[in-house]
Amino acid sequence: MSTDASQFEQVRRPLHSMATERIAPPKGLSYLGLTELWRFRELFLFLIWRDVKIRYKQTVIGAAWAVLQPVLMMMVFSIFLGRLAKLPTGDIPYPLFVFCGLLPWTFFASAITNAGNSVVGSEKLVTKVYFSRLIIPVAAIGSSLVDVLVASSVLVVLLLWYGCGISASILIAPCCLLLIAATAVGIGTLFAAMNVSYRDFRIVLPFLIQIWMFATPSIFMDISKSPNQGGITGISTWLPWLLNLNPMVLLVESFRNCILGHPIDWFRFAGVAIFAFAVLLAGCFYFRWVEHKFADII
Amino acid sequence: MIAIKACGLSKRYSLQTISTPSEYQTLSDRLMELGRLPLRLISGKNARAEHEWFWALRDVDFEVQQGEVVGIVGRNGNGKSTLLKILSKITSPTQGYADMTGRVCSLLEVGTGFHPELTGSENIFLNGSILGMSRREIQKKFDEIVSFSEVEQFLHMPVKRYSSGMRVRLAFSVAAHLDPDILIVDEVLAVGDLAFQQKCIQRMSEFASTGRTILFVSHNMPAIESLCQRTMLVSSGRIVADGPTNEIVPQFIKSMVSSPEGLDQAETDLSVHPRRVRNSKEILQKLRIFDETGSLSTAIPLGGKCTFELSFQSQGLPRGLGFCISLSTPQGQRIGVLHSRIHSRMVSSGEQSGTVQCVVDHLPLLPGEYTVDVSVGTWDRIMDSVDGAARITIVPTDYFGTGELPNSQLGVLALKSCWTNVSPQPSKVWNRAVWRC
Repeated sequence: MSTDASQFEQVRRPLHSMATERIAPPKGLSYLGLTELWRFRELFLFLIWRDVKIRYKQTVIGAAWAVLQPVLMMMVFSIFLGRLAKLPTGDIPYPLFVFCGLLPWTFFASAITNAGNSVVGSEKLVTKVYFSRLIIPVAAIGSSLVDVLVASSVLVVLLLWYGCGISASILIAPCCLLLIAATAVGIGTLFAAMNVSYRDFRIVLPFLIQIWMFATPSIFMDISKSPNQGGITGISTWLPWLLNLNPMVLLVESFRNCILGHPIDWFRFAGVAIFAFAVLLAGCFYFRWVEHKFADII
Repeated sequence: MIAIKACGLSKRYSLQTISTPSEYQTLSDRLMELGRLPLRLISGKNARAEHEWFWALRDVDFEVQQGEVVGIVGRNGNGKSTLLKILSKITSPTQGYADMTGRVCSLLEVGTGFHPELTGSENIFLNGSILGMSRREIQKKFDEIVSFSEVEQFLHMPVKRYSSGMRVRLAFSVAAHLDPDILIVDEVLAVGDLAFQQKCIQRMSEFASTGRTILFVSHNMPAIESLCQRTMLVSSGRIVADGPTNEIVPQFIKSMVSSPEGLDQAETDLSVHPRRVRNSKEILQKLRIFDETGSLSTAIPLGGKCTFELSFQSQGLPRGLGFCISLSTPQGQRIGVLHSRIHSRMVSSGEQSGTVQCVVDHLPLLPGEYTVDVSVGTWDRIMDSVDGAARITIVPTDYFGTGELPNSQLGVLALKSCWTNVSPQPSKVWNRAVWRC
């Protein structure tokens, strides 16, 4: 066993070449600490790797669950909403239509669930080691992103099955996913931070996601067309306007349009993009603001 | 060069948070509070005033030079861990500041972030990364870490199937291969078996010898004594003493054993004692215990001098009274007796009162608590006896000069011995093995 002192670097760097860091009471709203985030990039990747690795440990079919979950959801939606309720989808087969909606939505839903519970779930880490806390919720979202990428393989199969060609606009789809991820980071970090002081949010979060899903009808139906164009009847004129306030409506719709090669409303898209980044910044700043209290109150 | 400079470092907790850590403040509480706000504003009471504050750390100032190994001792709940948490940035100070020069690494717990579902080698990477190592660094040291941990065969098994000892060894091996400029270590050596603990202490002293700065919190006094040249004593959130280890540790030990419980009193009134053996005459009046320095104390350093003083007074006492002090383990096992007649041929010559003293030059008992029973009698009859009259605490010292002590399961006697290698061709390797085995 060689545990010689020689294996440490014998020659130490002179201290004056080392950075001195001051530990002092926090002063109000701080900067985002991007340089520090960059310093912990490897840990960030390790946390994603860990989450992905353990999610399907000791399961029989392993990562196939990532594929199976949205596929089963697609089947349920196709039977009840496609066959029975006959929701309008234009000329697209319902399973393909709803899968294009479920994919970004399940990503969003699992991302904010995982992120929201991530900091509380990492209590040990938070109270025993220092690193930029922000990477905890963001890594949780990263691991959801891995799942959605696995599940998108089904999308390719569906496109070929229904004989829809793969158009070039599919290349924009990752941008939509990124915008969804940005929104999820904003909301996820907000919930993660609030969850530390108020465990109420642990209960609120699943509710919120359910309600949010109903408030995002673009997942399971085509809302862009008015009744006389073959859209669904019974929707008053103010409702579509109200839905514009929900960024997920447009993001899910845009994702589907990219996949299917349909035109995208770029003006609204840009608006949602700005909104997504505003949410991202707001969430992260709030998180940073309260971060220093985590170890004391978690 | 100064590696750590703390200036007026203070940490305040709200008692509300401390006393009910499991009950999180709910939103409705918070909303109620908001609702009451106007009322409070009218009545002039401040919301803050309702909080009770607790200073876990108060105005701590110190400097640590580069390459110094500093021990921090103190009773539990006096702020040691808070200090380490602040210095490792886990929690922020309420006042004051600390300047840390160089790469800091803190080890407040062994195996932080270990995931039971991941295999041993996966956990090495995860844990290493959490402790601040880069992936390349871990890859480079991977083999060393594995061989240090002695769990090679189980590397591809989930850690949840490890024994607790294996888990600890693996976790410590990762930590032992950190390479920071400043290392902050909380009571982490208390884990693992004796041999592994020894290996870890050895590792730390190697680490210290390469000019790194270490802050080391421990309740293991021999470890502190052998590792640290300087020690700080923390009490009630303040640093009450700071100086060479050989001065501070005895001071700490003395402060530690002065517990309010009657048994630990160095002066016991025996005239009315609940544990007097029934039907015995009240002859013994007082028992006093002194340590090496001659001051009243029940904290006796291992191998140190101890003096018992017994006062007696009664009427109609016969001649030839012998005095007996016996020591037992808390479990009631007799360890030995100190008898005035047997040890010193000293018996009373008919006095009706007096004081006798019994000096033990080297008390060779391993650290722990021992009960003191006292009795007095003639050669054929015990006349007065008080069982459990007092309790002494043997406190650890570096008795063998090796920086370690046998653990308490290995007996109560501190036997001294000298070991040499008498094999025909003594080799250097053998000597090293003695250190490491």
